[in-house]
Amino acid sequence: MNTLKKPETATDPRLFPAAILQTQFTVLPKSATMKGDMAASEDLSIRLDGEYTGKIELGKAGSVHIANGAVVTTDMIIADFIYVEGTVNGKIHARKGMELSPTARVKGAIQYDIDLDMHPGARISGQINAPETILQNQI
Amino acid sequence: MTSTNFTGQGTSNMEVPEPRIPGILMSSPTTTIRPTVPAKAIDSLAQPAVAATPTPRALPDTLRFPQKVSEPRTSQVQTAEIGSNQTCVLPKGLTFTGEAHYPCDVRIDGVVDGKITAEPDRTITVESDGKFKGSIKATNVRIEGSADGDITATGGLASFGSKSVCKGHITYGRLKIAEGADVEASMKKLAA
Repeated sequence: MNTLKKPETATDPRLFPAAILQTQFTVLPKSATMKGDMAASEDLSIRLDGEYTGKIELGKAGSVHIANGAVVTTDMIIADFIYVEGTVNGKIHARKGMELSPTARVKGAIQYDIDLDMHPGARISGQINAPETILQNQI
Repeated sequence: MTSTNFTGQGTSNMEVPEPRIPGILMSSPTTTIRPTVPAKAIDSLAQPAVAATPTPRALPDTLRFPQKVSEPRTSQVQTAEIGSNQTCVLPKGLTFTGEAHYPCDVRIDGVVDGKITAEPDRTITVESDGKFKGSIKATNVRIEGSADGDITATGGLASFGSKSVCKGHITYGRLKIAEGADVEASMKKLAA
């Protein structure tokens, strides 16, 4: 058993820009289900609370917040920022920052191009791919 | 004789451990006493080491995404509980293809291709920026933008705004079409 004090409750994001939390759109509320593909070419901040199956591609900028309780099964989620508090099965790719909160449960492949922040308590099974090139002065 | 010898050895052996145990006990106080003096030294060594670790741990500075301290960092601003009264939005710029089922009111500002359903007594709205193709099924349906396909307002109001463009099939309980609405659809009224 892990004797460390485990923060099971959600904590504040450290890496994920706090301003996004107030401006994001709840696309999928609790107990809603969605099956399909989502795409956007604009800078959009999306929050998922329900059950989602499919792809999410935010081509330009954008952020995806997978809230606590959300269950996402995906081929690929790609966005600038990804903040995981829920459960993800599949591949996630953050072009800027990837944050995995204490309640995050990820099975699959994680890729990040600049920063990764994993809180204690996050459960990750799978592959983590670091950025292959050194990007400097990039935000 | 042998037994007495054994007992004699045993007692002698027993006598030996007895002093050993106090010896251990004595040694442990000495060790406890001893650390008191070195403990300070260890603490004095440890404290700077502890103090030294936070200084490189000034993570907020090293993070490449500086955040304003004045801003509340709580995620509680937008509560995790999406109340039944709240509306969920498919924002402008978002394209969704597939099926969705909502327990709340839905507002479509983006582009949706597929099937959207909602729980009873909920309203699905296609806003003026929104484009919809496929089938909508909800108690109330309001179209302000463009809709193409099956629109089913089960027992409720199907409403078309003055700038709406609609094609397909409409099933309604009550109907409202504003002046200027471009509605070209087959219609069926549900029995009240």
